[in-house]
Amino acid sequence: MRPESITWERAAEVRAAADGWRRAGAIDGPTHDAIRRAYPDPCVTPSAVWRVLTAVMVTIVVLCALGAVAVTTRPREPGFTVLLWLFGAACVVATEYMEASPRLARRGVAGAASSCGIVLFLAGLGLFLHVVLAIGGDAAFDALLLASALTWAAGAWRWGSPLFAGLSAASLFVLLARLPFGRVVWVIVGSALVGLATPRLDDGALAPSHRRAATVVLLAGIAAVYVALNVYSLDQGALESLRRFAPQRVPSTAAFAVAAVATAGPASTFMGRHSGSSDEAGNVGS
Amino acid sequence: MNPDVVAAIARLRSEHVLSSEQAARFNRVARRHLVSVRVEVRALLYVGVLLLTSGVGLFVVEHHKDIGRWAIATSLAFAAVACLVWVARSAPPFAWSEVESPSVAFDYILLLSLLLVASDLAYVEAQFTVLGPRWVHHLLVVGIVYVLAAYRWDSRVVLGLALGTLAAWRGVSVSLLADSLGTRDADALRANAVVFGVLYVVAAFLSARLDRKAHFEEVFGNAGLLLLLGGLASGVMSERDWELWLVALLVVAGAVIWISFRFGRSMYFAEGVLAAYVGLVRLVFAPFAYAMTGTPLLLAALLGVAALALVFVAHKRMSAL
Repeated sequence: MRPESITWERAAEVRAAADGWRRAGAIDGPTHDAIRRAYPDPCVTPSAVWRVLTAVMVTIVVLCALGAVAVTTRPREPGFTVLLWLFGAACVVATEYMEASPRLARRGVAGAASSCGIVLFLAGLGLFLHVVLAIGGDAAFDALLLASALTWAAGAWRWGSPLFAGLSAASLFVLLARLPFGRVVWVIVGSALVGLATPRLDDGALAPSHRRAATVVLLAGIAAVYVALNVYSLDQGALESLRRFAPQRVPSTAAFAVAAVATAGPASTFMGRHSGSSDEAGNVGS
Repeated sequence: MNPDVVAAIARLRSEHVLSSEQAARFNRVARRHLVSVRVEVRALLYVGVLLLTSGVGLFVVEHHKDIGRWAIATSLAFAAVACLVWVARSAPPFAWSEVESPSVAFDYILLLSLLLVASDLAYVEAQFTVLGPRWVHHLLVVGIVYVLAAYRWDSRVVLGLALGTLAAWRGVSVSLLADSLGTRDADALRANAVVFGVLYVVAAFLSARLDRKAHFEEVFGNAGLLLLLGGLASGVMSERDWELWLVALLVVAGAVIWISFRFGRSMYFAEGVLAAYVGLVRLVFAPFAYAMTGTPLLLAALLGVAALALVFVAHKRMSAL
């Protein structure tokens, strides 16, 4: 995340707490004003209704624009893949611009644009693997799941979205369920995620939204362990139903390599631009 | 722990913005030494009511031959009455203003009792055929009971349930009538949605205007607008006379946007904007019905950009009000 975004988020946390204290009658008006002055937050933060409405409209605009270009140019599969990636890249660039603007960062525009960007990238990748490279269904699906887990995780890290962290964890667990001994792997990986996420919940070096993302990962880990050990899930073979449909005809290594390379590009860009949430740690209190 | 708030409390204390008592108290909350579980308790109660009513339904289906019809009907009635008696005994006196619930469980026991009443009525009808072909009127009875309960015990959840049940009564009635005549009368269904929508919107207006359970206004208003705008939008999507429906939809949506803007109601505003957008998209697509062109999609995208601009401007103005 951008250092300034982290600073805004930390100020917003304090202001939200102060609003709660005021509502509870624990502080008076002048104290509330003093706290808000001490922790200025330049971001415009509309209510959930406004954010959802904005996000819906942004998604409609992106999809309609994509549809307009696709219907006009009528590309074949490789061309449509490129088109999906182009629109995805445009959404990511727009997100980067909007995340830097206090007027736009929390209005739902950036969230919708980033979601569209990742979904379009993954859709393009799926088309590329299955149709252009003609990789078999199971192998392509595995590669797509791997790319999905990595891309959503990169998005969660870059833009601080707990939803993206949840989608990354969900993709990872669906991928793991398709491995041999998937149930055991779910228990092991779920426990590992719980172990990794728990210390992050109170880690002041992380941005508030990264702490929330850690909470989502923690819950995903607990849920995975529970589902893996649940008697009903064992009886019904819920995880086993996610296994591959048929023996593989194409080595999945190739698909995994393509997915890893395709994901590593944008991911490394995000990570490279990440300028250390820890730098900002404690700045609010200083 | 919320480390940002903990650090802020220390700073605010050192700058004498907070007293030491306030800082100590807020620190307990920020460090999660003092945790509110109200939301969790409410969620558990809600899930519990849903599980209980679903469990009762499944149990009755599986064992109704072993237990007997009369025993089941009586047991359900007894359980519903027991819950209602508890609600009636613990409820505060009636008032036209908002009344605080006496306990966190109150709303959920009330919900449970009313769901059991509805289940019992449905079971009695299924087993004893009281109303026969006019069984749909059970929905009317249940809807009226819900409305009365919502007003007496001041429950927005029950009011929402009541409005849905009453709308379903008309919807199911119309569908059954149409089916019996061998037709699918979408127009009658749509007209019912519009009429009920208008009735609910009027009820919302009167609630606020007369200050009679004014906090019910949002429930009436949102249910009414969903039915009204949904009914009009469904007319716009139909093949016959869609232009007339479009005019009606745009007029109503415009009025909703304008009124919600004036009174600072973001939810109504959102419903109005989305309904108007749906209508305009239909208009944009109409001339290109059989043409394979990207023009309508481009226009729909541009309309979306215009809607976004409207949303931004409206939010700025409404925040300044």
